Amino acid sequence: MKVGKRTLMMSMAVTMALTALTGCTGNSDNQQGGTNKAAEGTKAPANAGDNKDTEAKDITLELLYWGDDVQKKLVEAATKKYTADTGIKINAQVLPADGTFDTFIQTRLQSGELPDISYMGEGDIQKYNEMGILADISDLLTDGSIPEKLSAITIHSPEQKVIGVGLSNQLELLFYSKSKFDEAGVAYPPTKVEEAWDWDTFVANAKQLTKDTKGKTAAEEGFNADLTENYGLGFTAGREFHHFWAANANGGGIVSPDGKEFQWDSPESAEGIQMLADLVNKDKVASPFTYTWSTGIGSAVDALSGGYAMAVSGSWDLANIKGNEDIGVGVLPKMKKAVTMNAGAPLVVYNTSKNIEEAKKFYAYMVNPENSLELLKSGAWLPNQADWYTDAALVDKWSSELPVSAKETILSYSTTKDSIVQWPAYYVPAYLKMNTEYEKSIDQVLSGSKSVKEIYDSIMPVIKSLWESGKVS
Amino acid sequence: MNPESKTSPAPVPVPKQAKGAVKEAVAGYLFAAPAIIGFLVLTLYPMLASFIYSFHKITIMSGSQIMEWIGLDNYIYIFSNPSSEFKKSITVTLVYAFVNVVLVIVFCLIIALLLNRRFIGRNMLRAVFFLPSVVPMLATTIVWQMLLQNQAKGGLVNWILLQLGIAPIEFLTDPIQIFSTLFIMSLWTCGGTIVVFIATLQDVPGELLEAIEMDGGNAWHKFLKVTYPTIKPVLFFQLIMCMMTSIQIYTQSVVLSRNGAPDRMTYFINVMIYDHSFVQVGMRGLASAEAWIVFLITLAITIVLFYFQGALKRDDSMGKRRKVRP
Repeated sequence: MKVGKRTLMMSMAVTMALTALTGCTGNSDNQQGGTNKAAEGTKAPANAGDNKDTEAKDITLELLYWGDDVQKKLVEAATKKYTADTGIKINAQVLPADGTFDTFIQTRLQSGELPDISYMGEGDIQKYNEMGILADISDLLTDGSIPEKLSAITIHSPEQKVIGVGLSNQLELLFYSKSKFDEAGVAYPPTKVEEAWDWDTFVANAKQLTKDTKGKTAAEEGFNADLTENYGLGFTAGREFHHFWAANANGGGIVSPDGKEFQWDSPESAEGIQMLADLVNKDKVASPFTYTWSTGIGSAVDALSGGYAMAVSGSWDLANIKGNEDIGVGVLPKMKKAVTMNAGAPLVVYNTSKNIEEAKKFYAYMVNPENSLELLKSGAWLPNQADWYTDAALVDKWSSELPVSAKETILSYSTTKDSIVQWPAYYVPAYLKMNTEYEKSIDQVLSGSKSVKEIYDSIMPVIKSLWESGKVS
Repeated sequence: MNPESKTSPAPVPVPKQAKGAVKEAVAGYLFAAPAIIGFLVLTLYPMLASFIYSFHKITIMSGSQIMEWIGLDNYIYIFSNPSSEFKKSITVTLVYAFVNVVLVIVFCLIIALLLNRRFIGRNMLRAVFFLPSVVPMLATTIVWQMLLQNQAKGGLVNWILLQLGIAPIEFLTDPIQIFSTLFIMSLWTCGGTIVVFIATLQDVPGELLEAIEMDGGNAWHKFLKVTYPTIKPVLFFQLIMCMMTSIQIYTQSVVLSRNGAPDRMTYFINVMIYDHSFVQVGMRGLASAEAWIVFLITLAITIVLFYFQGALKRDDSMGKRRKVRP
């Protein structure tokens, strides 16, 4: 009996010890990071490219993406169709659309278990390119597997290889509440780029729409800004693309589209960003915000039904205004130029994929607007292909359910030369570090405690030197 | 017969008791093995690895980690490079930690003293104070963020202020007010400490309190002469724990801004280290150096607190009294 107890005791102890170690074991095939897979990936295509059913059925590609329930359903439907058509199985894993996605990719990279294809944050693509794990997909564009995409969402490496294509051509737009405009007797914002309000008109209108608790507008004598109940304007977030829009709209910029000229420190850029901050601290027409997502107004539809008359937000908010007759969409005001910023998370292929040719074919399928038609119709995405903005039949496919003002605004931006500015994250290798330096101090401008010029004097030499390095790290 | 057998000493029989002790020790170590192995693999190894990393620049090329020896460069960068945010980050972290410890300990002690009195609804109130501490910090932060945001976004607190004709407070965008927000959340979730204090207060000898009352002492005398000496050890323990958790603040900052906004006032040390390790590129070695400096600072604070522990120990007279208690 004693022996039995001892044996039981020992077994339990050993089991517990091993249990503690279980989590520390990994896939021994992947212990060397992604290099083994990369090596295999370069060898695999010779036989993996065939379309033979027997081989295709053995291939499983892993897709990592973020999204809500709607997007999950649409992606799953697209992958099922792909499997039915080709026999290639797709293991699609969804993650929340927040900062954890990048962490997840990093963890998978460390364990040598990168997916074949994934979404990628705009600001991260050059980082992963420099790590050498993104596949060159130029061949898909040259051989016609992917028809010509909008240049604003075609992403190149510093060596001019195409490393990703944006799934959607997200644009920064001006959303507004018709009832609040009617009440204030202000004309709706225009939907044509060439008719965009100049800055003075925009600020004057925003003042008419800003009210304190006693009903006085910011344009009237006796207005008490400390007791503002309704703001004329709100920004989705205090983040970079609003700042970059202001810099570009005032005739400056961040880095020229060819990547050769540093424009962030130009007087025009500084003045544009100062005008943005002045909306809060001087004109008192916008609610305070900091250089982060959470202090912005959030969803445009919530903001406009709450205490805001206008909201500067991304085109993804179009999905939320469906059926809301009170919300209209117009072009952003101009300072010196009428422009908007573009964004849109790209899809990438990892060169660590064991089935890189199949992964590229699946990639071509996924970036085809035809396969994301439901997302396009909802307004959550906008087409990433030029002909979808010019061919009337294709335009009808995605825009028929959008408000007329939204459709007109999007088409006006998409067909007016130089009215869409590409987000520098797409083509500036040192973007992440440059932006980190910027965000360290820019809140002092947004809070009104310092001017853009004062902050620029201390941060721009460092930011410029980072740009000159031409490197992510 | 082997001649050697004559000269060799006779085998000494091992007492049964000793054998049992050895077996017991082996069993004990085996049972402790999971914790020991866990410590070695999950704590000691990462600590040593991060120490080695702290002297390297670490980059990833073609999916592989490349380590380049750079000596003390990471440590020099931390203290001398104008781009380094370490000084600001550790300053805001320590300011938050020290103020938070004082607020939490004082607040919890006052609430515990009040809840230790007999009154109707005492148990319900105890539950009310304890309940928020079982809610995850992530959820608590989101709720408080919604309550304290700008009135135009639907912030209830500011909306009430506005209706009362008081100017709303920028709880989330003002560099100073953001600390009020953090302290409110911290006090909201300190129910666990209140429970520990209430449990300790049960141990305060009632006859001594009565004696002070009979001698004409008031509530303050009772607290100072009896209650405080009794709860000193628990007070010290809670102080250490609160200091450690305050220095490790992370969730609130990430939910409120992710990047330390406003003006990097919530860019706490753990947020910065995480940022350098997993968001930025080529800064993992720097993050390791930062983590080691934080470790040394935390160690120094703990040593100082332990030094003062003597002053917080239970009075000898109290100890003696308890020993003779039947």
